[in-house]
Amino acid sequence: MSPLTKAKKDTLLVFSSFGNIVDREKQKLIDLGLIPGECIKLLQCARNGYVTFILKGSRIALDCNIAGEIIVNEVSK
Amino acid sequence: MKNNLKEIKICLAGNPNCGKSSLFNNLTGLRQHVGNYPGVTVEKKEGSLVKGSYKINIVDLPGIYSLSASSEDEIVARNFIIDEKPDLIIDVVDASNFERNLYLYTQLSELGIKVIIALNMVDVLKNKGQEIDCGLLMKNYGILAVPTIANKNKGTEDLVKSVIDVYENKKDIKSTRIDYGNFISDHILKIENIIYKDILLTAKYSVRYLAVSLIKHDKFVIQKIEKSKVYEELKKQSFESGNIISDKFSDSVDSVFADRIYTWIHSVAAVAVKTVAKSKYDISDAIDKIVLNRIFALPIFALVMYTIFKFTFTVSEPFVGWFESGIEFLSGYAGKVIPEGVFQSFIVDGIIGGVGGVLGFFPLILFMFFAIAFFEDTGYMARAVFIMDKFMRKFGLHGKSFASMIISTNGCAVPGLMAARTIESEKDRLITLMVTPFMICGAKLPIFALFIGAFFSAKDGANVMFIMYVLSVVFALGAAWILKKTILKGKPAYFIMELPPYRMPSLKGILLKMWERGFLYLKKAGTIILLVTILIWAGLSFPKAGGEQVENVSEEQAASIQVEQSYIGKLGNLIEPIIKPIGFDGKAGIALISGLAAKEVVVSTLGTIYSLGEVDPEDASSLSEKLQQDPDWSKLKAVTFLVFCLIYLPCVVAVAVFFRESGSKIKWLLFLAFWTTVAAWIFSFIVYQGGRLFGFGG
Repeated sequence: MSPLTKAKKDTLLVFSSFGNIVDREKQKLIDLGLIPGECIKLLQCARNGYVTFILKGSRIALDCNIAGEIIVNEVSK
Repeated sequence: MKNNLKEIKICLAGNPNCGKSSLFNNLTGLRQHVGNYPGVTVEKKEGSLVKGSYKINIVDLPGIYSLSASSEDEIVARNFIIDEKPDLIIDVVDASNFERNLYLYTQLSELGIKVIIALNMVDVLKNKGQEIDCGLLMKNYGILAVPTIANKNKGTEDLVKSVIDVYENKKDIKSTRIDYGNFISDHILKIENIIYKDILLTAKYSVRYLAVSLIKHDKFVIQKIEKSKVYEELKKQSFESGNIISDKFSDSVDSVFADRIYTWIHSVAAVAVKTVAKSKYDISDAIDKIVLNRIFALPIFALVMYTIFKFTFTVSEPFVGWFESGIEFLSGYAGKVIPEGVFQSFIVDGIIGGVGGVLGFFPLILFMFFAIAFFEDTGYMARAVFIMDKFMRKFGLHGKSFASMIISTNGCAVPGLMAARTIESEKDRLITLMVTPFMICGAKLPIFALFIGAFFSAKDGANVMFIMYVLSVVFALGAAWILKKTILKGKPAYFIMELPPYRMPSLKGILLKMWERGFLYLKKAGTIILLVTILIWAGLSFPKAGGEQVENVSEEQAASIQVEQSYIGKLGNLIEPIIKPIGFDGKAGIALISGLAAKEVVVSTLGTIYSLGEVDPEDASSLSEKLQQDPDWSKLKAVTFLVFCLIYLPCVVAVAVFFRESGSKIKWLLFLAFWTTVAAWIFSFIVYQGGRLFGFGG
């Protein structure tokens, strides 16, 4: 398990849990479909920690603080 | 006949950027702004249509992902749905993102209000090689879904027919009830039983929605029931149930509920979504690899911005010239055919000289709108917000603040200020409101174009203009940084944003947007600018200087004396000591004051002032030529004037919107007035006196 910011690009990831994120931010991500067990695909991870990933067919962009608190499992191909 | 119409109140709800406003425009015939990025609509818009014996009143709501709203625009949408209770909700669902969009549908459906799905963008879904079987949705789940392609106005008629049928109970649609499992359902039931004890609650709200929201500790709903006689009992039970559920499933209660909802959605999608062909290659990811690349992102962004400005100024240049020549011709012609006197002065100096000065820049405004509409419709705007977030944070702003600033630059500070509603943090929003007026809006553009055209070569014009745009951003960022470090300290808000897919903009769509925004500019020229111009002309023409003052002097000198002796001339003399240290005389001062009505009025006022000094109608030169020839102006003074215009108080309409958006607090309004005026004076002083010190003229 690793934070989204440390995950490998272009690999299939499974969302596991939220780290230390306040309720409002967590709610927004849940509304976007980020629930445990959900598959996501990391598209970009910039040096400053900003990430873009695909969640339920949508491209989602996050800042480094939030991306670092999203814990994922890497699924081997 | 009108009174016999049955009225149906409906609203359009849906995720951001799913095509609600396009559908609203199709339904009502109105022209609300649409764009390929989330957050275009930030307040509810109303319209109506008459179909047979029905009048359907339609409200277009800002986009929401769920009823758990956090930003101001989302709160507007949620409050309308819960409090206004429409007869029917059209949930606009992006068919190409069916599962995620259906999440909101499940919540709307639990409100006890009839919901129809407008299954929009079915063409995009088809390109993905998929289709949705609406028949199965109806048969298996009682969901009425009507396929639409809003940007091509397809499916609108069917949707209207369905609205009437559902309203008249001719179609048997069912409310969706998610099966949360026995354990959770028992807790929901416990809370529902308490709610039933208060008839006021059951009369006003859906019991199911209240129960589920209370278990999820929804602050908005808790606030709604505060006055209920069962408040304490409800609060106790809901907190207890929420905690028990959370413990049982070792997850937050929100996640537990969302998981059950998505399980249901997944089962619906498995039945209704069919793969019928191979998916076409989506180019969005490939483009993003370049435009969001860690090295190329910022240079590409700077290049895009520069291209917009270079395109605007280079392409519009000949058109502006033709417009100016046309206005000069008109001025000369009117001077010849209208007998000399007050009426001639009113038409030639007042209306043509004033409003004509503003209209001369109409082509430039159109080309600017064209360029920005193109980038808006491609989907790049959302990327720009994302790219700029990290940078903006260094100055205490949010990536979405950049959207406000761009929208302001795009046309007007008013929608720019309103776009700040999408920013969740109140402090970040307030800072954005404070600095957005610094941007060069469409109304300021004629001032910049006038002075740059007058004092810089055509070759340098676009570059100087670009520098001015950069300067406006620098001022905005600097001001934001100061505010964040002093009176508006706080943690910056998070950045979570959906990036829309790239789309090829249609020429028709761009031209339409360009014309709509351009038309607003013309409308303003024909209303507020015309009115203020007439007032300025009257203020400059009366009282009439006469007697010895104008005897034995040339006509130019007489005109100059007239301006000096007029009401506005006296006002100019009064403020001259304050603005003299920054290089301005009374004429510039009057133009700046009149610009508080609308920024374009600065140009029309100068047009009127300089037309009054003109004696030969056949020699009607353009305003920029008159400024060039006036010894009271210089390159340095022109730059100083532009710096002042960049920073000083926005127009009255923008100030009024600022007041509303900042929570209607007088202290923020006074602060805005004080700090923009003082900052404008200080920076202008530095530019002017600094320029003189370094030998750039006086």
